[in-house]
Amino acid sequence: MLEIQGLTKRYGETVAVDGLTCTFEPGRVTGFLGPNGAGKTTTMLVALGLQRATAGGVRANGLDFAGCRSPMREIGALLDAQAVHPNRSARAHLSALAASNRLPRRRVAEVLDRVGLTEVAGRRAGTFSLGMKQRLGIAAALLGDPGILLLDEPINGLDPTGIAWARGLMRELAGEGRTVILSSHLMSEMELTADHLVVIGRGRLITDTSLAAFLDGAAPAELLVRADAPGLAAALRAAGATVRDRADGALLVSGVEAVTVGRIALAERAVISELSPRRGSLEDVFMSATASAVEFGGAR
Amino acid sequence: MIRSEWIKLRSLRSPAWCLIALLAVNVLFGWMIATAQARQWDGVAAWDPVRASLSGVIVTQIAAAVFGVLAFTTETIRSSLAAMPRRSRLLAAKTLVVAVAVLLAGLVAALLAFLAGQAAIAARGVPHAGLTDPGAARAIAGAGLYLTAVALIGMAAGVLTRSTAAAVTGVIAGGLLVPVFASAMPEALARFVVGWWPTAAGLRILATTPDRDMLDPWPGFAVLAGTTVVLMVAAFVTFRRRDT
Ligand SMILES: Nc1ncnc2c1ncn2[C@@H]1O[C@H](COP(=O)(O)OP(=O)(O)OP(=O)(O)O)[C@@H](O)[C@H]1O
Ligand SMILES: [Mg+2]
Repeated sequence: MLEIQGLTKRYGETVAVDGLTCTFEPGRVTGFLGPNGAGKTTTMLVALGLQRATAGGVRANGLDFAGCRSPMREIGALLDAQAVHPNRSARAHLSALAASNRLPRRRVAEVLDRVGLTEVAGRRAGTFSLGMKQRLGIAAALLGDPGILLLDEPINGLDPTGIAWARGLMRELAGEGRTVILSSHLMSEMELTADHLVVIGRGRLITDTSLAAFLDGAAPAELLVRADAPGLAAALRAAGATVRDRADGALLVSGVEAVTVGRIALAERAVISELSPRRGSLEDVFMSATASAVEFGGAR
Repeated sequence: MIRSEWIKLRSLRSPAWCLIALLAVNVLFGWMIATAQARQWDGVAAWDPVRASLSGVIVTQIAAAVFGVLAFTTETIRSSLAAMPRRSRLLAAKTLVVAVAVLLAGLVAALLAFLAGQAAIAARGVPHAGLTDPGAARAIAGAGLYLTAVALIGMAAGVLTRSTAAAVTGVIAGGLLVPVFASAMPEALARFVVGWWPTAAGLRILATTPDRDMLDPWPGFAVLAGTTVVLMVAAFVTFRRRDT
């Protein structure tokens, strides 16, 4: 469990994190989302003691991370996959980290195996592709078998197989009862991976809710109806539904239940070829939830 | 923690090359300077064969300083600190590993330079020194200590500036150029620089003949050691406090 209490971090005039309070619970994957510059990385840096909070603080399983005897057993972090010495081998990089926390040497081979880098472990990290570096960063985070994983954009640069692998790994780690915190801008991936979301904007909390509730709450459920019957739309409207025509001839219906649509279609003697619930994608919901907090929008 | 830093150092090639270069240049310059000074000696002036053979450290201190700078600036401090947030321990382990590595390399380099230099002097028929002569062992150990101090000053500069270029420039300018250009300075300042500037005073540890205008060997080295301690303390305080 990672608790953030009233965290504020200022860089001169810039307020990167502004009175943020939230708790990341164990046993689930929490997506830590927000537009560019929202303060996600800064929050993680403060949690790891790399930067000093202006006010408030962060506790990892009730402890102050900076005072831990064996910190890698508490929090495993991936901040910047590029932050490895280019001339050092992956194995030496992990060995040095393991030694700093007095972790048994076999952990190095174990994590290399888990991320699939065993074969290239002797190569200089500078020769690694972005995705390989990302895997090395994940390996470093796993080294101490930590209860909390703090991963800043861990899937950037992974290929489709790698992304699917990372998703499985995150789910597995959460299933083992760990606190998995994942920041990413890849919404479609987040939708598949996260159970819970903490969304921030301009350093402030926007929502702290389950993925399902976030998706349901923001976008009203719609039904996609495909039927070869011109009169159906009028009949649905007459029954109080809101109906929008799609370019491909299908109807987007809201305000009535699926069973009502079925009954009306039966009465109209219309054959339905598709009747499916449509949720707003996480991307849609995220963009509407953070619209007011986007700092670097760019010209439209 | 110390083992971690040792793994980091050992797993790269450049630190090893840096120390090999230190060794080779020290022996080469020790031999060259000894040869040159033996040839120029008029048989009357004070003659210090020990110092002549060890004066290569004036050049090799660059390698020591660079070694110290790189030990800090090329490392990804964020990933180290994310794994070990106790900053003083991290820096202390780095300091120890750098100091021991440079001390060992420096001692070997000084011993070899001494032997090569004395052989060159003896070949010219000029009085030379042996290992058991008074002050010789102290001067050889002193050369190792001098290089260690310079390496730690380099590391402190690396911590304080967080930039390889700035730290290397700073240490070479401060350690090497200031004493070299002392003659171009106003009289009083020049006298201070020649006698008391940390690297100039520190080199007195190589001397085996007294010089009334200069500090004695150990007091001279103490000036350098004191400077090193001050810079290291500044580095520790800064490193503990700042955001990374
Ligand atoms: N070292 C720093 N000095 C000054 N300002 C900083 C520093 N680090 C971050 N900031 C500012 O703090 C704010 C939050 O940045 P942060 O990197 O935490 O955002 P983020 O949510 O991680 O964004 P992204 O999605 O782009 O990674 C930004 O406005 C940024 O400019
Ligand atoms: Mg970021």
